[in-house]
Amino acid sequence: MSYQCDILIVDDEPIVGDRLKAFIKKDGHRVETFVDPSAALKRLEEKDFDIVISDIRMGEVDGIQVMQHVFQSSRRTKVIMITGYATLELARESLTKGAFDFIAKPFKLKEIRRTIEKAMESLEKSSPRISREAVVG
Amino acid sequence: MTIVMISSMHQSGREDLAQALARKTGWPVLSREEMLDGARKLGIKMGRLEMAMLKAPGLSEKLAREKEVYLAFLTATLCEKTRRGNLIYHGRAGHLLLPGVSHRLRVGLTAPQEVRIKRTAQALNLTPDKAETYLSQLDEDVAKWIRYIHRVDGRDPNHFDLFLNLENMGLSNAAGILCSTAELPDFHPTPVSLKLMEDLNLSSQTKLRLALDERTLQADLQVHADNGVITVTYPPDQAKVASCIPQVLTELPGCREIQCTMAETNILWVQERFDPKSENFGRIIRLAQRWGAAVELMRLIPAEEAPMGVEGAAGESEYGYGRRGCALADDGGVQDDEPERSVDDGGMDRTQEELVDLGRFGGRHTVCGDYDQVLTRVQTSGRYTLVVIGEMFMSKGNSARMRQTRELALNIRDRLKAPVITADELKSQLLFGKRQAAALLGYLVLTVFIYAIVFANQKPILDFLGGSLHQNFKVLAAVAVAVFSPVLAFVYGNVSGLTLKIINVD
Repeated sequence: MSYQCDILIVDDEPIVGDRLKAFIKKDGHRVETFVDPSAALKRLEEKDFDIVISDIRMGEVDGIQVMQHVFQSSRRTKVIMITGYATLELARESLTKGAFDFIAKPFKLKEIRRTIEKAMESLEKSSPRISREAVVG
Repeated sequence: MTIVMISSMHQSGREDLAQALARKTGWPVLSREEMLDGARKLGIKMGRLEMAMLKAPGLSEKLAREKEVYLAFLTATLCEKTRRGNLIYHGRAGHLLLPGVSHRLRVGLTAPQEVRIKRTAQALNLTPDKAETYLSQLDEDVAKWIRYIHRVDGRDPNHFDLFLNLENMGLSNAAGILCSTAELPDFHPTPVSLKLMEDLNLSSQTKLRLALDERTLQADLQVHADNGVITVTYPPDQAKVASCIPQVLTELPGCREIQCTMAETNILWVQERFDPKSENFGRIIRLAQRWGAAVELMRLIPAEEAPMGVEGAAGESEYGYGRRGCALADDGGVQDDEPERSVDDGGMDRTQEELVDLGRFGGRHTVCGDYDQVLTRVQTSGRYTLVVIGEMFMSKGNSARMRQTRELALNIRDRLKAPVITADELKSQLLFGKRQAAALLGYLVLTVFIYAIVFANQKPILDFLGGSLHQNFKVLAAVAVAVFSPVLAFVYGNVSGLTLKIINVD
């Protein structure tokens, strides 16, 4: 059994959002994708998401800023950082600032699924809110 | 031409020192970050390599290959840049690059922890506590990275020419010290160091070309460059790539001649389960390093334990990995899943990774069935300098195991006409350890004793062999000679054999 999550994906490369959305939706989650981080920030002000998947390098607003914005409104949200420019320094910075996980591109789809599952487990432990809608997996 | 390599942990001031030195000297500066960008543009999976330090289970032979390509890229880039003149490079472990080149000044740099914490807190907008945690975790990660990439302890003072502590020294003075040290004749290029740079450059360029070309990227090739002559060695079962190598290396700058040779010294290691931490692995690696040989792995899965659908009974060579199909432009870096591989690979992946890392990997095969399948596979695989039979037939009783291992060894020896040895015999016959040292001492004492007895009693011995005594003991003298000669030959032979082992002559 797995649970439905609200997931927001923000990456300035449209193909990343498209591919992730198509894959993650198969697991029954509700997914919203954004290529413009400013638009994503606006949406985050309107709604609390369970999981946010964010690219790090995105022009004016970077992934770290997105994460900090998420935490201002919802401390329970799990933020997964993805980047094609992964370094130990950047990964440690993200994790120190509260990212749930840090994934280097290129990655396999199963890797993101595993990370989402772990994030869901963590959400379940920390907050019962996730258990609102069960879906048979 | 002077090369200054400044290495330090994060936020210790290496970039500032490099810039201060550049202001004093006018030399160009190259940073690790610029190198990373260049490596990424070539398609080297830097992110995967770096993240492997945080997610250890992700280490694999694929990453070990990626590491080799990354090192080749670093070496080639540094060689190219320094060809134009002086260079200041700063990074995590720049002092470990261009090994053996005497005209590089290897500088270590450290700063007080509180200064590092303050800088980190400012740069990343963290509280001092968080900055301290960040630094301590990052230092661990970087130390692990250096061990993985260079296989040495990055802080080992033996790898530095100079180590500076910025606690009581200003950047300008530190740069002054570097400037005057770099001017010492000890760090001036010599014909030998320049030739080494040329050879390093050529071999790195060759490795890069081969690793980035679709025709050769899957091959396990050893590259050596000397005075413009490139020697590329390939394992016997990858002979197909040999014809592509000259095409891939066409018009490589600095290359006068390309020699493609099949590895003559190949060790085939047949076993049921592999473990890179085992004693057998250590022994085989010692031998492979001594001979400059590649090690080919062959795993036998007994028929009753063979997983369904993993491989046919005849077994197949396993090279199936694609490395460069990772351009972010095609899929944004979100790749489709590959079919899951067998979970239990008998330790092959870890052993292969270690062999690739040591530059000794010569291929791998898995064979399902009994030893007939091993024999068939061995016969089609190629030539071997030595076949090592490790732990086999583990599900059988001790006597059956020994008998079957012996039979397998005899059959392989008959079919391949190659020396076959068990892992247990390997140490006693080809390697020199404590037991061999004790044996050498014993045989040496015995030899000296025999010679002392003989030379101290020459007259009675000669009398016994051909003088007046001989007339009375003709038969006994003949028997004594018949017994004494082989005993002396055996004892003296052991002394010679063990002595030759010490100097690596087998």
